[in-house]
Amino acid sequence: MLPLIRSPDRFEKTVMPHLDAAYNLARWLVKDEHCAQDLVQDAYLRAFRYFGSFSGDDARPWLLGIVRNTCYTWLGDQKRLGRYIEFRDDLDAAEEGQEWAATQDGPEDILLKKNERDQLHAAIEALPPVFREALILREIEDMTYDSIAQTMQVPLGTVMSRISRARALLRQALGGTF
Amino acid sequence: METQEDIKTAQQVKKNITRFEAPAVLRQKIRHDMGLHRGSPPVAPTTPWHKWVQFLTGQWSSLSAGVATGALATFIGMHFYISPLQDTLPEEIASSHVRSLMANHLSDVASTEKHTVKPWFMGKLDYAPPVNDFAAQGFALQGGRVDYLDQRAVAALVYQNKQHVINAFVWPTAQANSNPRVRSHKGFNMVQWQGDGMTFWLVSDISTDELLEFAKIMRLMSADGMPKPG
Repeated sequence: MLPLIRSPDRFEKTVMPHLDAAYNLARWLVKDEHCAQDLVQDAYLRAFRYFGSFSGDDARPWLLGIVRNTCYTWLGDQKRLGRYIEFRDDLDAAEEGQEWAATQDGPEDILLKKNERDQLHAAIEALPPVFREALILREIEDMTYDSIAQTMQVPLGTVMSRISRARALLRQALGGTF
Repeated sequence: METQEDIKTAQQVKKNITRFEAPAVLRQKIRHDMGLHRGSPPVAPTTPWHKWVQFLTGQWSSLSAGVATGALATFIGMHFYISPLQDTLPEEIASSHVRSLMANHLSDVASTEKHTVKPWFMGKLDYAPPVNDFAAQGFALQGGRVDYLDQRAVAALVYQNKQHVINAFVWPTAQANSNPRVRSHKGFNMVQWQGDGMTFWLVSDISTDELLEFAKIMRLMSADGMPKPG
């Protein structure tokens, strides 16, 4: 059987409401509004294409999974093309919280930002992508650990350790305020 | 487990973090892609007919007079202008591919048998597209339909590779044979070439490498489905 799309109306009802969440995730992952728009548009085409394979009530983890994969593919391409230094695919190193690439703001730069909000923004952008992603899904989208695990396609324990690691790295970068 | 420290960090983050909202234009573009729009699309649709409706209703004011004149010349059948739509072809092809994946739109003749699909095009097109099944090579013929691209009716052959659909568009051309060229639009990969007086466009969500492999297989077969000598 070909995986054909059956219902644009159902797509509209179940997938379109998560556009803001999709865009927010992409925007935080690729850190560029234009790239984020293109990638979300691509991701929605893919979601539409594979909508037949989606079953269930909550399309958000499923959709965000497509969005993140689209973003990581793009980040990987950029890295291969030498255009984008930050992305590292050696997730093991990231899991261990090793130093990330030197192109990001260092701790001193972050503390030079004029207010808390800017400091936080810079510190989150400096997190390795998998930690940043877990944090965004948890703190902004208020997703459950289960949903995040489903989105990121990793075990629950990994999600918990990524979120915990992300918070610890933020505290480390921001000092006493957080 | 969340420590007290974690809870405090989480609260601080929640309070200060920015949630980026999807721009309205992105929403419109996606609705347009899905055919969900119920108003004006944000970008000009690509079928010539839509362009003409826009032209006649004065929405082409932002385009140069030269382009508009070119379209007018085409419209009244003089055909001595180069089509201003040429560059939109990959977009047309991607849109056609997406539309074909929607309900009941994939094939007008559904058959894995080339001797059923090929005659079906007779009387619907003024040329005979090469129709072959490449199931043995992993690209199984699923059927065909007539589509409208580049301002003409064209043959669309539907193939399946694993769970992926590939649309192959074929129409006559006066241009010389060429090697496959790779394009990409909105996440879909395309391969285009000219051979034996036909122009071929393959479009799918499979990788460019797989699509090139399929192109290679198609190009090795002559119109009657036999491997080409030499």
